[in-house]
Amino acid sequence: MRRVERRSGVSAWRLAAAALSAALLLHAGDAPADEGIEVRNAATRLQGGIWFLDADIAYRLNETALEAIESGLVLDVELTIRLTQRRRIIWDPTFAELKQRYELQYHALTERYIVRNLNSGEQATFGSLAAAVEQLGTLRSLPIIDDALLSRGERYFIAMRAVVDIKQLGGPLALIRFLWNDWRIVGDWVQWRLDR
Amino acid sequence: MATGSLKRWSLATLALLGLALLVLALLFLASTVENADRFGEIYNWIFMLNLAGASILLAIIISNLVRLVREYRSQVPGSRLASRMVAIFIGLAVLPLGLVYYFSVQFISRGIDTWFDVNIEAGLGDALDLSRATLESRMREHLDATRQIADSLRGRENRELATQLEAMRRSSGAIELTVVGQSSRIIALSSERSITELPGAPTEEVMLQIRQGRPFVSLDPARDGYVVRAATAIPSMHPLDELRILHALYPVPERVGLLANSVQEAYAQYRELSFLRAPFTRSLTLTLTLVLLLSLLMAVWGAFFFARKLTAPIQTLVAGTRAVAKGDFDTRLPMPARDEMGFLVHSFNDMITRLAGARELARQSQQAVESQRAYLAVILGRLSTGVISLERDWRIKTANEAAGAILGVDFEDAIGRPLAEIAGDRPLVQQLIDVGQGHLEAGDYEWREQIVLRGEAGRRVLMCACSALPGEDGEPGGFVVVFDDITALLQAQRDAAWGEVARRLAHEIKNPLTPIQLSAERIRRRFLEQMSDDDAQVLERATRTIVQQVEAMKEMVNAFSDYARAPDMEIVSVDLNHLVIEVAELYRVREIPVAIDLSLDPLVVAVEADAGRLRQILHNLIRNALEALEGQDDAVLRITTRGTEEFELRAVFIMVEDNGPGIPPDSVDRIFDPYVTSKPKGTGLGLAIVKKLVEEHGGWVEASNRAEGGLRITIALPADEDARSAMLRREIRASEFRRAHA
Repeated sequence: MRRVERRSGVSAWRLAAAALSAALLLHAGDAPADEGIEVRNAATRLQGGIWFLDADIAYRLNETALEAIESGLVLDVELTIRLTQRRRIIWDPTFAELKQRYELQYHALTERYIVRNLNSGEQATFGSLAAAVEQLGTLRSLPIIDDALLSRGERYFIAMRAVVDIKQLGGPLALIRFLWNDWRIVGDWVQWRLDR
Repeated sequence: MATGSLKRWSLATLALLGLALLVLALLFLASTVENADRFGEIYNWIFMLNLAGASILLAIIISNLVRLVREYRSQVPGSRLASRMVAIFIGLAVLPLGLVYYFSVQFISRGIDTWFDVNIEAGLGDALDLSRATLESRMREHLDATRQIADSLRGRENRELATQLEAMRRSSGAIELTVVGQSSRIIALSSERSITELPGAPTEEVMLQIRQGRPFVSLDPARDGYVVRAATAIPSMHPLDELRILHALYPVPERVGLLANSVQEAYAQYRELSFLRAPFTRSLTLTLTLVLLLSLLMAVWGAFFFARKLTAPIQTLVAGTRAVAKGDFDTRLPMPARDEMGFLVHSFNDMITRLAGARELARQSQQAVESQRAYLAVILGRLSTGVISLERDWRIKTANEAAGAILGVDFEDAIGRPLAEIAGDRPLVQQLIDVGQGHLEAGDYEWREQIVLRGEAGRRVLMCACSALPGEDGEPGGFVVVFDDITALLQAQRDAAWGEVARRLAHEIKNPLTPIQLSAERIRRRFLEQMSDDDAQVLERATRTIVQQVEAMKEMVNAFSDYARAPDMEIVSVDLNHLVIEVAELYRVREIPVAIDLSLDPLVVAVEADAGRLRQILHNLIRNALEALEGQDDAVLRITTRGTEEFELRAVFIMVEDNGPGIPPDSVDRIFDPYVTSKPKGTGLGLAIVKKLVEEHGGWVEASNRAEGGLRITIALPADEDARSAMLRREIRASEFRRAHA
């Protein structure tokens, strides 16, 4: 992995609005340092004309998320992988975007944690949350793009971000999800150059 | 007016926009209740709409509040009422809203709490445990079965396993049996599932537990129910043999699976709800708070709006009333609406119209009265007759100029004061009051009388009449005193009589005098020589006496003749000072032991007068003074001239003063009458002639005793034709001059 950069992925005004609302309505504390999503390492490799991604992501769930999953709520995990074309003057356009979506759920009867890959439909169960989260964070040989689609001489960057969200709720609870920021754990964008 | 209306419309539009935004935000919010994704999409819009709407309303409310406070402090009409109404409206809105809000929050909180019951939770937990226990016994059975299969596979070669497994799977009822090697390598597999489906390989968790020497069993939720996953190591014949693991998947009967699923779902739902209870309550409370906030803002703005709307006609009425109080009767208030307030405004407008009409009538009447009064004032002002109107208590109500001139009082400052108060040092007024009091005490309110008043400047004869003004209870409401100064008239009558006497004397007496004188002289000439000395002496004395007396009588008759004669005036420009010097020089002779002192005003240059008459006036005055000073030591005669342009008229004063004995006070007003003299010598016509000549010029003369002793005779003469005309017409009275030069 080369030159990994981090940048904020939340639109500034929405953050400001949410912060204002939160400040007005609640006393939302800052997230402790041992919570959040961290991309420990990520690398892209070209194999057989296809770019693959290997990454290890550490999901450190906050208390609300842990409580939610123990209560049987489904956690949505969305991994966004974005390929951008670097320009010199104007902004970088998104060349391609891939979203990997997972669900993490606790099954009380079997006392098992279920991890579902919503893209592939695969499902695996784990006896512990740590094992399930470890499995979620282990990304191996995820195909990203066909190299033939990329232009020669252009520079491309890969950006990746993970978001853990308590499963979308309807009605008044939707408001909560936007106003109480511990219901949504948003990782930083991590970016590196596609080394060709 | 147009700007104010535009501003009001702009504010109302803004407020409605704010309301619309808030309502729109609420509608958006309501539309998202069933669709969380939609909420995510329009969340920003909802937030911005809320913020914008609330900001607009809040700004308008603050602006209204500031305006109201400012108006309240400035005590703008209607602001107190508006404040009270705003407070009442807000109170009326806040109280029910607050109550509804409080009970709603309580209802939400308690209502949601009632969903959760300890018994239900415990029951669900028990059901879950029961299901789990049931399934666990099944799991144990399957694990035991798996162990038995594994034991039966002990020592079997890998290649034999495939056939063995199939038979064992069928006999055990498993879905799938798999034998895997050290690194999860599948050695043998028997499955009832499709060949395309990958075998459910043991996970790292399974492998780890087996390596630790413990068999693995778990109940895994599958897409269409549950499967029991069991794994155990296949006992080896030799310790160095490769570790082989038997991994088996057993089905859970559909009925059991469905029941277990039902329990699981119920339990999960309950737990989920339990978890969401607090956020759900908070969320509902927040939504309710937003609605309350919106309602409150709307209510407060509505309170301001309606208070202003209701007080606006009152403010207009107050402004109209104030305008009317200031005398602006052109004010017409705009009709607010066809309601009670409109009726009030209509009545107000009607009243103002009537008031304006009444005021116009009053103004016209007042104008007519003023006009009449001014007309009367002009007439009274031009009258030579003095007119004074008095209150019942003798306070002066009005007095014309002639009254002031006759009585020597400036009535302009005396209006409203009692007549007696201003009579203090004015004997003429006091005498008039005395006469009036006499009549009043006798109950005589209507009287007419010729009154003789005596003052410093002589006698005044007034023809005075008094009339009572109508009053209440038969008592007079006041008096009007009308009086005319007839002194000059009487004097003129007297002068005319004396003139007639003089003419007759001249005619009747002078004619026989010459024959008497001639006869006496003839007798003397004829008989003087024929008589004896004694008789001749007698005759001589007798005839001389006759001739002398006849001469004296001639002189007297001539003097009368001079008095009566009135030759035509020859008005020329005369240097008065020069004439005074010239005449005075004639008397500066050794035989006359009197010091003649001249004090001449250099400004007095030329006087248009009859030079002969002026000379005679000076001679007579000097002669009169010298006669008075005869035999007196340190006798001084002073002649003074002064010029004046008072009342825009050129006039001169000539004062002849001596330090002689003066004249008795009771003779002051008669000194200018013929044959009134205190001196042994003289004809008694000198001053009478002076007065006659001065009056022929249009001037006036008066005599007064000096405080330090002696007599002062003052003559005022017009210096030009204009002044003479004015003074002849008596436009300027002597008393006015006197006052001006006091």
